[in-house]
Amino acid sequence: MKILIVDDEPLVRKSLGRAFKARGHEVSEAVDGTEGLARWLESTPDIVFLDVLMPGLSGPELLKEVLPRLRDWKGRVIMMSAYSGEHNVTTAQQMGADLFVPKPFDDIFALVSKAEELFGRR
Amino acid sequence: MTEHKILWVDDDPDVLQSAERLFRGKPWTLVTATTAPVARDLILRENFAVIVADQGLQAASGVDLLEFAKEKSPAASRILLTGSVELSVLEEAVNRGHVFRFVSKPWENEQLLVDISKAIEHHQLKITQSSLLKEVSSQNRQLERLTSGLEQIVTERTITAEDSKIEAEAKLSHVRELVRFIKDLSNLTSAEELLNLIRKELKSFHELRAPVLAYVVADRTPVILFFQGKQIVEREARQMWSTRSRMRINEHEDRVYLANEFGRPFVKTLAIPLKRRAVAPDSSDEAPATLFFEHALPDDKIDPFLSFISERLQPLSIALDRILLEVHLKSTSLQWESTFDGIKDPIAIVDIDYQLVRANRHFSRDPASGSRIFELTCHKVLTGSDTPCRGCPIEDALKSGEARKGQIKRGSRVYDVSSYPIRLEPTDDKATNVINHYVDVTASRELHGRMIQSEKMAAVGLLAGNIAHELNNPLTGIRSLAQVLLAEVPEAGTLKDDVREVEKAAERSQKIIENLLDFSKGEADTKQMLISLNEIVRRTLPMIKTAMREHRSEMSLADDEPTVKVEPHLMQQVVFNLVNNACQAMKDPGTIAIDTTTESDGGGRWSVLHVTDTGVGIPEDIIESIFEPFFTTKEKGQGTGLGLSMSQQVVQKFGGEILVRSAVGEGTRFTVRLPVVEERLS
Repeated sequence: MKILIVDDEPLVRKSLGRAFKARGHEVSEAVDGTEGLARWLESTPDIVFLDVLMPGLSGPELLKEVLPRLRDWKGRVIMMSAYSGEHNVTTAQQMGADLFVPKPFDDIFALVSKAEELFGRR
Repeated sequence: MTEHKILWVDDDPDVLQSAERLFRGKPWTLVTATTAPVARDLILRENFAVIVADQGLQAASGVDLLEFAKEKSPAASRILLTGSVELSVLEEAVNRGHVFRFVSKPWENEQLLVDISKAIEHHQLKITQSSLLKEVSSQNRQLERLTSGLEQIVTERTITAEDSKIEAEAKLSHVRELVRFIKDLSNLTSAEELLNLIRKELKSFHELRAPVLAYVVADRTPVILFFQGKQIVEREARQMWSTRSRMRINEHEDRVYLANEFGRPFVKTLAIPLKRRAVAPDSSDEAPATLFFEHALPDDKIDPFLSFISERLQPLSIALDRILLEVHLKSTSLQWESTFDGIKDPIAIVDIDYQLVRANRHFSRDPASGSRIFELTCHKVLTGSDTPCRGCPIEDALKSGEARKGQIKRGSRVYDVSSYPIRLEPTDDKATNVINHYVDVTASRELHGRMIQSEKMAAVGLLAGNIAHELNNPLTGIRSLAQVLLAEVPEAGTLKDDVREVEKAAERSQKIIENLLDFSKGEADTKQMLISLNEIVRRTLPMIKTAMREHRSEMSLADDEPTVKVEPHLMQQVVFNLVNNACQAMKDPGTIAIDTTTESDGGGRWSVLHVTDTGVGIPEDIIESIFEPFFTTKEKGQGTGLGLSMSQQVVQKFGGEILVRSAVGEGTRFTVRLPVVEERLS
């Protein structure tokens, strides 16, 4: 499956990217919301990892921007945040995401499995 | 103002002339005499403030003349002018003439003027003294004169009554009774007693009913005092009685007055006015106090009664005057006393040596005792200390002459102190006393302190929260990448172990950040939960590792982990405080032991935490105070004095207790005991 990782923290992009590539998935990355928007529109990924707080376009803003444009898109969005108190699954779903994951992750491979599961349920 | 007269006696006209020159322009009148006889004549005729006499007068010495002056005009200050300084002359002058100053010839003009001024002052002082003395003793003398006059009458009558012994004895006993009456009067302390005495005194006149005394008190309220059965009742008069100063028998206006006052008819009345000097001047015709009787005296008994009462009228008036004055004084001072005692704040008037002049009831440490403790110092009474309280502004207020504020401690209470300098005597030119007003601010200060503390915690919490979140982002990357690498690196070699270390370190960092976030959380979003003391200790330690780094730490946690019901972040603060205190108690590297156990007693199971240090220990005299708010031995800025008091509150809130055992030089052990609360299986 095609994975898009939108996060301004390089190590988060790198670790997620390698974990998915190791499982044979195709990965693209974006360093902020603006780049994220462009990649999303051009590559139509199956799973998008979206950070909340980013310079430029934030995660929720990006969602607002992109979802109306891709009405037929069948992908899934996993929202991530280091400010765990700020968002939870419910608020993330209200914004159009499918899953919320607080940072730091306890086990990155568990996260990969979750994403695969989400893709499978599509 | 009258000019003071000075008499100068000298047989040398030159001397008198230079004296005249010297006194020109001065507010004094100089009278001169060249011989002793002329001077004597002047002394007898006029009043001099100062008499200056030359020792070497013809026909009489200066000392003789001054001795004469001492006898005839004692208020005049006496100065002896003398050419020689013979001891015998000086001795005589002092012994016989009571000389105020010696002036040797030739004199220094300046010095002489000073001496004359001093002599006039001395003279004025004497005059004032004697007039005061006169005033003070005038009433007494009046009574004395009465008594002695009476005694004289006793003697005289005794002599004239030789003819008739029986008559004489009757008169004698009559006068003795009068004397006894006057003595009884002098022992009275209230108007009620006076009325009682009058009734007793008039017992022999059976046809008289109980007396009614009407008088005006200090605030001009008319008052009547009368018998109701055996009781004496005092009440405000409904109207003013006739204050004419002559005795009145069966007069209409008195009958009407009494009838109105008591609501019943009065047929025959006697009205005996009492002159009151304190209220009405001597010349006034008015008598603001009147003694009323209802009577059924037959005509032949009225005269004996009038003469009986007339003899007693003046001492009665004087006694009433004195009693009412005393009562007024007492009630005035009582009003002020109860005013001060009614104020809940301690108030005291002290002098420059911190001696109490006055203090209200709340000033002494035991307000219930009510005992007044004067001639003690304010600090002794207030705090039991022999030295002035630290922070008391009395000295400053006295020095500056202006009101000053300060703050003192009395046991565990904190007081704001205002010192207001005052002059007790209007003649004092600077403040001689201070009114100290104390306001207990312990509660508000504590509240303020707690507010600051919780504001600080909130600020720290916010900061910690921000930092923790900022750290979370890179930490996510580090840990996740380590996990990815762990999966990718070959099993062989040390690389895998190294990466595992990185992953573990990242995990630990994550825990610390979580704890930090928990610890700094505001009280609002926390709940009591079941947690073991071991877990509290484990969560807290990473935060105080820096403080503990210099010391050896011995940790021994209980094997079982019984749970207690607490708000974890509050208990973490307790552990943090105790360990932090332990570290600060050890100036040199020492050992800090943290251990947990479980104990059982009659009250159930307890989870117990000990924090033990090998520090300086806590002296016995302050160990009682260490849990008090704001008690701190740390340098200013190092501690708020709230750590232990807050810890105690927290522990007590969760049903536990906090104990301390300490030995100076050996160390201190704090023990926290919390009731074990097991999770109920539903």
